[in-house]
Amino acid sequence: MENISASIPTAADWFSVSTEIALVCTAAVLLLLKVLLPARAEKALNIIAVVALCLMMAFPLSGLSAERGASFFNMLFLLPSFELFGLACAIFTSLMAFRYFSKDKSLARTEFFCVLMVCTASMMIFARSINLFLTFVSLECMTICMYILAAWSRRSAPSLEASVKFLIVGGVSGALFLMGLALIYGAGLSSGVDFSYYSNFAEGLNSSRLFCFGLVFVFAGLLFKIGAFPFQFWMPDVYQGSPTPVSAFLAVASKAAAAVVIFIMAMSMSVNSDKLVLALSVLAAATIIIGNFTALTQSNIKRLMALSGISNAGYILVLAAATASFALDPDRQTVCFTILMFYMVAYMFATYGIFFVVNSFADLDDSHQNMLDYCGLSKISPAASSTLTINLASLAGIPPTAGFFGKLLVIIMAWFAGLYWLVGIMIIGSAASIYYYFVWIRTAHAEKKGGEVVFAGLGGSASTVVALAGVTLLFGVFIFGTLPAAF
Amino acid sequence: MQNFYEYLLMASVAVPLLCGCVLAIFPLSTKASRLTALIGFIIPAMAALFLWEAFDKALYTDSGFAFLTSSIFSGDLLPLFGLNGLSLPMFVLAGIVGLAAGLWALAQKNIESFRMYAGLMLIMSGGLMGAFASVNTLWMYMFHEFALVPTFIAMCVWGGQGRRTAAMEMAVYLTLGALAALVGLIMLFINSGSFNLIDMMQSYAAMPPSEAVQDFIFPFLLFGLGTLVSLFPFHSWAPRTYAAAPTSFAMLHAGVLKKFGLYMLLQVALPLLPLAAKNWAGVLAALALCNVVVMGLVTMAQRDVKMMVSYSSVSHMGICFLGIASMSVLGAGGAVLMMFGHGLSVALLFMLSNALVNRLNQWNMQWMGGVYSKMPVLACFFVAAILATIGLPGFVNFWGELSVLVALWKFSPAVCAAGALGLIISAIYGLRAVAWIFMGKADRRLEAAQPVYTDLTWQERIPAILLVAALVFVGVFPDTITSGLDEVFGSVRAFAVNIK
Repeated sequence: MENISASIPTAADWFSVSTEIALVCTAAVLLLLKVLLPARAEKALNIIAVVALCLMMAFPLSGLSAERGASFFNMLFLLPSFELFGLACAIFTSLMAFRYFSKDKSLARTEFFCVLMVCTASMMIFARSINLFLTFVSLECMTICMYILAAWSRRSAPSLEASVKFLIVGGVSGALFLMGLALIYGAGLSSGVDFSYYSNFAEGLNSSRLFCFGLVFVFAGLLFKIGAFPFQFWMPDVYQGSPTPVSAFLAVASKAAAAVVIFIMAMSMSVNSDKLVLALSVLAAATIIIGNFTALTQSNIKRLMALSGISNAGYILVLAAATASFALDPDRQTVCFTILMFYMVAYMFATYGIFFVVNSFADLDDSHQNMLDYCGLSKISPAASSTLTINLASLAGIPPTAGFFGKLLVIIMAWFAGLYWLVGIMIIGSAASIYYYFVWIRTAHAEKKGGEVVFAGLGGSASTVVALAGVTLLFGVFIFGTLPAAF
Repeated sequence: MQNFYEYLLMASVAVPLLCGCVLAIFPLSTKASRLTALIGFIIPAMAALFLWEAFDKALYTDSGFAFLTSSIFSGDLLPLFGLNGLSLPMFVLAGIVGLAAGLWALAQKNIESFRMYAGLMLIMSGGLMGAFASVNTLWMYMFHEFALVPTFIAMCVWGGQGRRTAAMEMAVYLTLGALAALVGLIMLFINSGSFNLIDMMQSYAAMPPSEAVQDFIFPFLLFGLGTLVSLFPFHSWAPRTYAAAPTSFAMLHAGVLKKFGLYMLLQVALPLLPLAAKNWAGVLAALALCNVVVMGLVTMAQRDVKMMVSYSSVSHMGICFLGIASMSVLGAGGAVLMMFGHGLSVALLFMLSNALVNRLNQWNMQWMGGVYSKMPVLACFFVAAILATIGLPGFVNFWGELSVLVALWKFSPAVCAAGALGLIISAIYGLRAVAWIFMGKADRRLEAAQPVYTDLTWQERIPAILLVAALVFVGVFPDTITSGLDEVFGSVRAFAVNIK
């Protein structure tokens, strides 16, 4: 069909996926080395893995992958910022994993980093794809890696349970996506245009009802991933059971990738956008309300983080609705996309900062970690409690943290888009969220002795945690200084 | 010299914040942390007094702000600082009350983990200095929010009875109010394309939004900011918060932070939305009267000395709102004088009532008695503070109440009469409290609580002297504040007789 170029791959094609290739090759080499080298070299291998991840930042930073506008057989667009984001998530997850593995020496280690790398690579392809087929394939590849990661703690029943639940839910969402893809492709066959390309979505919406039907399924599959209403129910279960580094990765990286895909799709539908705006706004409102109000009574820490993640998915959908409503204004859409990246980066710093603290408790799988366990944290570890306070304030959107600027920018864009009632819902949700974040802060500063699980100290992750809190505190101010010109 | 003032203005914000961070991060020794805290409290106060002295209409630029920091830093990256006739008295108030609260904290020997306490206080007071020194409205808002988390933590750790619930109530109320105000600010921003107040003024003067748009934006600011100032019926967080908060935080919160909402109304909302301000003045006056009269009556019913002070502060905010509602230069100026005077006197009252309660181990005023002969210095300051709040001539509150009432007469004689009733109520509960606490004989139930009658130490007297001195100085020379106010309010269109 028309868009598929049958040309021979050029150097530019390969350069455009250089980061992904580097990730997968490193994973393969690490696996080989693990087999070939003696067992005592494993620690060195793990450190090499993290160093390699850091070095790979050079690919998107140097612009090596940005040789041509659209590349790799016209299936990918270029998004170095997301590649950096994915690598950062992988690095933070690896650092957290070191601490996690020190709690249980029996777990396989090198393989964890390998699976994580493959997962990150497919996530990058997923977010950068401009074709539904490639989107689906990379989505499945990423999700399967995540099933494995979720079950990493083999002897822990909650971890296995989380993985099985994730498998079932992920299967359903994958099936929905595939069903939608089939319908869209079928609609394309009858009209002679390949609708699986995002660039043809506008035409599809105009010409085919079957296409619209398929699109609903595709969106359903994506909403599963981002954790939006009505597909949010799996998140608390899966976050709770998964090993903490994996929970953090799921919370940030996987959500961000799905959000990027939703944005790219929303930006490609320049007609009939009012219906899309309505659908996205209703979903956003429901997600914000469900996420925030179910979190009010939650005392299990990891479930609370999942519910907070759901409400953040709601805020992201508000921005998506605003983006969709700027159908005739590509400049504003670009601004919205920049704000999405900013929001996700702010969310990444705060969420990883919190999960590093969650990961520092002595309990192996953290799945029963309760609010009460944080009692007296400020006495045991002032560093942990103060960074926790800063990061929670960021999630709650208190100035001058980065989270405040994220929410501020979302509200401004929603207001530009005329979604006034949605801004009202956002404010009610934010005010409600103050309660559960501040209860956590209050407990951390309480005098009473903690619960059953003992805080084991930040250990080696102390510097990372402090750095994350520092960035959360200051980075919004610096980024915001450069943004107003964009409006 | 101009550059020196600008650096001084920035230092008054940056030094307390830096000292706060140093205290929070580094495990300093007791002596070092006390010294750091002292530096963090003294420098902004000295800077504020110095700038007050140096402030002159001659320094005004076209924008109406003096000491604008844009000559040092340009670009949107850094907050823009500057002072005009309205922000200057508030800035000075923040400096003085901040210093008094800090000195009071330093005078207390029994504060657990003082380093954290002083660190949080410094972050809060640095934020307050910044809120009043900012020209950028978003930065005003952000600096104001600096106080939220420190107050919350301080209440949870060092607070009094019922602190956990009170802290949460305060956090949710204030966030909701602040977010509503933020939406108002965003609407103002969207109509002008800038958060910078100077640009906003120019853009709104050139292209004022229609009356309907103004009427839509104004209530967000009025009720959002009103919640921060405990405007009836959004006041219920205030008394419990102040009663449960540790002394120094209550001083800063009731004395300075609460004035921020009024300040924003006067500095941002009224100049930019004159038509809406006129239209909403009636509603504001009605709610403010509820503050004055209803909350005044509630204050009369209090027997807990701290609760009485807390409720009285809610009630007095009504007078400030009435001054704004009168929509006149005189009324608004009176409101600012009232804010200044009330900030000082309520901080003094919180300080002394906490001292009293801690010494007597008892909060019920009716059971107290005869304290005058046992703690004469404390009694002297307490009486002075009470007389200031009920508006005795010689204190700055007198000028505030007088101007507000005179301005109200033109607005509506009935409202003026009701407002005057509030003053009588405040005289009743204030003087009755003095009589209960200091005169007569102590109840035997007080003796059961094993009171310790030690008068204020010298370290404790210094902040009290500071506050009383400021009250009397401006009370005798009110034109040190009002001359700048005339300049600012003279150009506010909402105060013109016929604006349409």
